[in-house]
Amino acid sequence: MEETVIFRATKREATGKEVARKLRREGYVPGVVYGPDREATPLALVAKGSVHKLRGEWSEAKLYDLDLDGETVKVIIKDVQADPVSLDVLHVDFYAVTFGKLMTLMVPIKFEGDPVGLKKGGIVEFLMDEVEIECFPKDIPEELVVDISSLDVGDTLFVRDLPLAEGVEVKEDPSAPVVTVVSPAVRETEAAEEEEEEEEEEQE
Amino acid sequence: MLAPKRVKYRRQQRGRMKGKAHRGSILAFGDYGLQALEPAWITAQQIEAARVAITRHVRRGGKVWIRIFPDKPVTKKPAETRMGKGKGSPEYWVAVVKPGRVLYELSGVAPDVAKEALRLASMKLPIKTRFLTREMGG
Repeated sequence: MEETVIFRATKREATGKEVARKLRREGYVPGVVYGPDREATPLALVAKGSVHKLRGEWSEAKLYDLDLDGETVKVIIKDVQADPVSLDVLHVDFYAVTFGKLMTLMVPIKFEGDPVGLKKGGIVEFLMDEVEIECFPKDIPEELVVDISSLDVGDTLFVRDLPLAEGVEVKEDPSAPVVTVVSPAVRETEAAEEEEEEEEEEQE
Repeated sequence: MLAPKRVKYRRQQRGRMKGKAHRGSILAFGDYGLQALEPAWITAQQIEAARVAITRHVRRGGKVWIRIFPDKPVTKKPAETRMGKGKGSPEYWVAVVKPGRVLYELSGVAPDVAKEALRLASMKLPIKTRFLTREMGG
């Protein structure tokens, strides 16, 4: 569960875009840490590889150590802002967890196995890739592993079917679909309609 | 082709394309995407041509999302017309695209198929693009 990745940071007093840009030029990434028992504290992260790898890889369901001027704080990552073109991380939000207090967070869903319906020509549609849960920090699951190999064409897996560890409660609608195997007939009709449209357009 | 059903005003001013796209810059639906790296007006025809290129390559299976919509009318004056006499009539529709914008998304296909489909789609577009995956931080 616990990660070995440690983020090193120093507190900063100055805020604003001018300060943030200066920090980035100097090799830091601006960030903030807050939590139920902690005032929002602006910080400057030492931008090593681990920080810039965060875009695309981060998930709320991982506990990290944040070394804040020598004080170690257990945190999860609440948000990562990144540049859409260079993909550099611009700002990180840390949430300082309080052990013994319930917290709400998003956990990724990992799908295992190939559905039976796939061999019959069905098409798998993933409708959800993360789910909102409530639990104590000690119970945070890194991911919810779901076996979808038994899904046939027309079958749907719902939120209520997700395997949950003890102490973890899902906050989403239990009847919301997570993954479904669509009949190829439906998709073929759609494709045929599209092709007809294309032909009509070409004729025009 | 994509076009608005009705609009409040038939003609628009041209506007500018400063900065990067911060909305619509991550993969929201599919596993793979095509991301714009330059600003441009993408016409409804270009959007459609790229979509056809993707669906033809993917054949069966796979799901495609178009993440841009041409909602800006472009006007043109008739040929050999003297200046003045008001703004021309709307000729076609464009989507204003800024760098970073995800144009298309794709799921349900193998990575190499997705990459080739989106490469073919990018050939139909007037800008540089990038193949985006969830691992890359889409």
